[in-house]
Amino acid sequence: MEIYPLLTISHIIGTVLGVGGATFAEFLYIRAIKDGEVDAEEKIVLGTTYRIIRIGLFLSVISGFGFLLLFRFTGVEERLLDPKLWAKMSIVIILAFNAILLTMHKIPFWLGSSLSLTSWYAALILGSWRPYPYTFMETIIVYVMAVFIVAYILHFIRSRFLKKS
Amino acid sequence: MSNVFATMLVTHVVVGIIGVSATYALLMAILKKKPSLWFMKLSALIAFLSYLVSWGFGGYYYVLRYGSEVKPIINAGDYPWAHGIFMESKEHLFLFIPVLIFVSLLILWTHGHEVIANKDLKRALAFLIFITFLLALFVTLSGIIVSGGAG
Repeated sequence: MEIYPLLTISHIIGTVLGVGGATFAEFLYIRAIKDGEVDAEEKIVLGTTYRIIRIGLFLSVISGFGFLLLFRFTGVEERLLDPKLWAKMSIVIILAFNAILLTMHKIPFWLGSSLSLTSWYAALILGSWRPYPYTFMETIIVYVMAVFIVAYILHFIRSRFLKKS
Repeated sequence: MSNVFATMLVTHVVVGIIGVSATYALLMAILKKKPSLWFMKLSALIAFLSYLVSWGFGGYYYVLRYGSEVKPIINAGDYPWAHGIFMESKEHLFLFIPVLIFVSLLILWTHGHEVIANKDLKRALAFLIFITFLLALFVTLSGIIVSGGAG
């Protein structure tokens, strides 16, 4: 099998696990806190979901670097300095640091969960959008705005769901 | 590029990423309220061995190819700072990484239970691992910039 399809498949699987996992983590968390506390069984389910997300992150990163090596070897090194690529990498780095801060409880949950969800979807969108017409700063500005919009939407969903139950 | 150098570069990058990932996994593990000692030991060991292998393969490529064939291209191109700032930084900063992770590995393997039991010790080791991760991340990103400037 040629390397490009292998890298693409790996990268997609990683993204699917990450995006899907992050999405399910949100819904599972809302269900878990419906009764006011996260019990032992719910903790196990959430923990498993977070593990899947980390596997997705690792797979995405490793295959992502596979693509970077491919660019290096096929004479398109300029793609390594592409603003879209750096925006995507910056978002993935933010995602990694966000996980650290969430583990340490040094970031409010509403912001941390929004950062996680928005970052995964942003990486997905950036990876799929070709050709991409925006600069690095434009992308980051929209990303930051999206984090707060998603935070508000999640807050709205949580409050509506918890109010009904 | 010959197959030998291509293999060196691929191994350097892929194994280096495994090292960075293992360092991140170690950091996440030690930050937990109840860290798993066997997981931390394994992550530290994988990180250390990965950095050694990445160092070896990268060093071979650097000595035999980078200086004579890649560096002149970067310096003559549109991004000479890719070498001047990022490769130069990488050359010096990377040396800290295997040493720092080795210290973490040694502490975990010889005093792992004390680290878990003692909050201050755990916090100090977590900080050390965090610094190691930051350095490894910077070296990784610098590598991308250097390769980008080699076009």
